[in-house]
Amino acid sequence: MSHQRILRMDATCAPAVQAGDQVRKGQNLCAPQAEDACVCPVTGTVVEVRFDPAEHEFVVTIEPSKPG
Amino acid sequence: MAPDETPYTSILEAAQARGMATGLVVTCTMSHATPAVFGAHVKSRKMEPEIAEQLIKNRINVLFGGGRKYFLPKSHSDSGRKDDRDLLAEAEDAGYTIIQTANQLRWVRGPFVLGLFQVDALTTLKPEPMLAEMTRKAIDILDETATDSRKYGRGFFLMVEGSQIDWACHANDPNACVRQVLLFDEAVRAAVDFAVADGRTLVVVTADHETGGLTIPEGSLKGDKIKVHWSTKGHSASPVPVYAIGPKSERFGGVYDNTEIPQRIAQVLGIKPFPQARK
Repeated sequence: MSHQRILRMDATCAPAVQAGDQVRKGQNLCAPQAEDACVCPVTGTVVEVRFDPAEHEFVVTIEPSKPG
Repeated sequence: MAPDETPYTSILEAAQARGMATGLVVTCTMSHATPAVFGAHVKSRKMEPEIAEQLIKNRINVLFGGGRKYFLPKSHSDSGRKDDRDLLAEAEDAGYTIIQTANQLRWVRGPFVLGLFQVDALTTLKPEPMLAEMTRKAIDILDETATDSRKYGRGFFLMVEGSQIDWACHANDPNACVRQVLLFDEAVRAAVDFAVADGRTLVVVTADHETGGLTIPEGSLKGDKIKVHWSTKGHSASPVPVYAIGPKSERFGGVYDNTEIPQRIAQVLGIKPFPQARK
């Protein structure tokens, strides 16, 4: 069973992370100038960042370093 | 809609109230954010089922794009709705001709046409109609409607969006970006060809923002390769051009906020006051 966490952020701002990046719980995943922060819920590794045109959002997939 | 949720009349609605036929042509879902700005009033761009309802209710003459799923009842396997409303049937009852293919597009007549050529966003590939084909047909229908109808006898307003230029740039995909811009360029040509022949039509071409911060640091027109650089995957604050041709096109020169564009169109059309809260 996958423990990956999926976050969505409006594509008006850019994601500040890319696949392979290590992220920490509480880290803002949006570019610094973004009006709304996208706060990382877990510590782990970014597996994928992709653009979802239908929702005009970036989808960030994170593999937690401690599943659960 | 203002931050306090007061709905404001869009430039399309103002043109409609002035007695003009109206249309929206896109390559995204018909209920996506840009067409919604012109033909609906909701709190969030995510309210696509509600936006679809309002586009029909607002009796926009021509609606061409994708997103059939938001017009289908939840009992349908392709539906994106959570209710049983069949907006295709409702649109037909309201006088719309419903079409789904490029061949149907060739033969359809106005004054009300709903063309939804995909369940989701358009692929922008054949056998779908290309943006330029949809633009030419929308102009034909609106021009004929404006000529034949007393109700819509004061010309027409048409918004055409190359919706997927933004998407290609969010993905930092230069090939897709070039292809989508070329598809849009063909649509612009269709509009300009009509305007030049007609002599009474204003065409304004612009963007609501830049995406990706694209620059070309290396390469030349003589070479077969260029190097591109993207500075972001999001929207940028780079100024965007405004091109205009036709009567009073000189009013669109200068540097200004893009919220002024509909105001300047309203001035050209003699619509005032604009903007104003919707009654």
